[in-house]
Amino acid sequence: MRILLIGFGNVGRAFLQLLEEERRRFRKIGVDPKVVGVVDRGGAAIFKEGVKTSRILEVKAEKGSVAYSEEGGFPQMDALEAISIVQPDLTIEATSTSRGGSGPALKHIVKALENGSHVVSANKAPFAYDYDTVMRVALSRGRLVKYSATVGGGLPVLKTLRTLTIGDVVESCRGVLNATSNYILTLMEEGRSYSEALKLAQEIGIAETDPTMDVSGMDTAYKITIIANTIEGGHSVNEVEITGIENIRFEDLREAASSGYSIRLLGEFTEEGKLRVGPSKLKRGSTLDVSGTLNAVEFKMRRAGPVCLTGKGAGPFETAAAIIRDIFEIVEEAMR
Amino acid sequence: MKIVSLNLENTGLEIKDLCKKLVEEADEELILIVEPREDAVKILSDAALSRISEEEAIEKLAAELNNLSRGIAEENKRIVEAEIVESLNKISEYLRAEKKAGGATPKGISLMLNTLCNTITIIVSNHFKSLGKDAKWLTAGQAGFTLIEDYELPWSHYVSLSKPEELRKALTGILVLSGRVCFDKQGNETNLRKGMGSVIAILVANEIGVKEVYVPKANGGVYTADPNIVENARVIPSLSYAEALELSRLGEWFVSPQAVELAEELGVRILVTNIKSPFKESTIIGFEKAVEKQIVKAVAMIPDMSILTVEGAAMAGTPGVASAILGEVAKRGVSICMISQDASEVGITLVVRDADLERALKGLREGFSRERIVKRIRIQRNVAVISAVGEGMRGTRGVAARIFSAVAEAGVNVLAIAQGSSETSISFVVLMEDAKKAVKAVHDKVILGIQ
Repeated sequence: MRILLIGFGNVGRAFLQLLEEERRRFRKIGVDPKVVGVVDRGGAAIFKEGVKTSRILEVKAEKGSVAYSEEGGFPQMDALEAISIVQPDLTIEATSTSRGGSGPALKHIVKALENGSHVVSANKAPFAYDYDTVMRVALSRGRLVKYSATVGGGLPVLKTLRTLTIGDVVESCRGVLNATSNYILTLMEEGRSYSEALKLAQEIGIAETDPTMDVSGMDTAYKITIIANTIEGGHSVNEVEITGIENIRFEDLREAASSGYSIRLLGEFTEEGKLRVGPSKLKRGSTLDVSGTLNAVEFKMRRAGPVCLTGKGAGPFETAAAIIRDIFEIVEEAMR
Repeated sequence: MKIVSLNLENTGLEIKDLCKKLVEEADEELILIVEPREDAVKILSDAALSRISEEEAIEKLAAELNNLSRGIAEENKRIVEAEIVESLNKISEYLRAEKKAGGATPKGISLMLNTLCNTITIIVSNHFKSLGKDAKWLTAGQAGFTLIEDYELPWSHYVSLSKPEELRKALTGILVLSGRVCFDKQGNETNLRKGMGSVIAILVANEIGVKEVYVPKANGGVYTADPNIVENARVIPSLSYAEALELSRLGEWFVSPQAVELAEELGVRILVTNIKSPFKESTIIGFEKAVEKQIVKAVAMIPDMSILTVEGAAMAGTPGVASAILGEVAKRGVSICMISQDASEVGITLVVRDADLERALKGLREGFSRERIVKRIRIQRNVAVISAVGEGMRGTRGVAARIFSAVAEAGVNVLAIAQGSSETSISFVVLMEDAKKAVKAVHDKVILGIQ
């Protein structure tokens, strides 16, 4: 199986390392996954016989882009060109999620599908803005698109959702879907201001240097939209009513705590089909009242009632593991 | 210019008099590379992994730092005390933040370790300031050092002087470097492993054209055996690089093995001294080969090890079995201390740390499921590896016989043996309860020649 990896940040790098470790598992089902191309902002690197993981990681660390690889490096080559040249069996879209629209990721995914490649994406934007387009192209080309890594990372939210919808109906869904903002709120509960908590979270590597996506509620909005799209399609993140956590004061948390509540940033998909993201009061100890970097999602099923998933939110390796699981699913489905 | 690798593991915490001696006897510019004691570093990791409480960790670290600052003059003391309070506050905040994050984050641990190392460096520089000297401190990163990682081996770790101009700019009076704090290739602050300060010391010496690095030690040198086990152990006057390399890995701490290797490459001598006269060498490391007739120079012991034996008749003549076994153990991040294989090829014996045994076993059981090839995995906990080191052993007949008869006469059973083809050391494994007896027997009968 010839794989093209688009995007070589933390997730892309973790994916290559994890793939090395999981190679034997693939061989057991008769598949030899070979990453024949890697694309980043500086260009592309193409290897007929498959990339040597340690070498490409070194080039990236030392020179800043895979395009400067002595063998196979093509500065300026973009992802679309790489797809045409490599003609991969599977394309992994792992560029960073854009704001305001699907960005280049949608073009990458469509081009890959049109070239007969299956797609696994860790990029949320195309599934939050243009879900229907992506699925239509995939269907018309008879290719598979998987995107488990976009929600919950290590937590199998979308897979559970697909299982639940067989023989039952999801009526609504609520969840704490962003680890960074939940972590900041947890730190604030100890009496820190928002800016103090954010600074500490950045120092120990939980929050990114630019935390806007997380704290503004945008990341949660992307995820709840993707959940809604997986349930019924037809949604866009543009319809989500979003409030972030930037204006929460620790006095608000204290006040809530005194009456037995905590405040969490919730993403909601209501029974009426509405999408909403914002800080909500939750009864202390309730299923969604998770602290630290935990995520929690609750699906309300018509027959089975509430179903809840709780676990650690995503880091690069959890996300990479979700990509690997998606590849497995594609192999199994394509073999059927 | 004199260069001193000041590792608190070697000197202990009472460093006031050492600093005074260094100033009195150096009569020129000084560069010190400071490293904390491993026990202090362990307090941080224990707390981050919730093995001890945050309060206990802060209390222990406060005691460590206060002991270290003992003897600093009044006007500098206030600055140091404020620094200690601030750094302990930072550490405790990081610990609490990590707990909320559901466990230790690599960045969090690195930040805490850097805070600790820098505070210790500030204390040392203030000892010099109280003696009226112009001393300044920098992190090794600020002085131009960068962490190098080899992507082939995820656990590998090295340091290089990537910006020598930064080091040169900093050279005035007394320069104290925080020896475990540097930058990675992307320019982020990170931390180095134990002993990398001694590597930095060698690199500094090479850059400014000095041929010696001083390593002051509380017990005054490198010993023929651990003086805590063998009371008649003696200081060894000279060691070849090859001998020092073996001993730095196996015996009592003095410098890191990488430092010895680099010193040989760059032609720098390592002078291990007594803290009471820090520039008078007791053990000189820096000979191409052994200069004394002594065949076995030292005997060292690594306690708390385990033996793992992988057996199966079909392993014989199956190429790749050894590589698969070692690969599975390596994947779990377990370092193998000793390997021994029967010529019949039906068994491979690995010696790993007790603390790593479970991980190594997990690796073998989960990753290596070729039941038809590997029939049994046997383990023996609570053993010690004992190594006799001396370059004179190379080509000398009968050394092994002398060592093993000494051990046998002491009534100790040997469980496994390994010797590298360099013949600079012989290692063998005994039960923990016999270890001290075996060390003493080799020391007295083979090194000292007492019959």
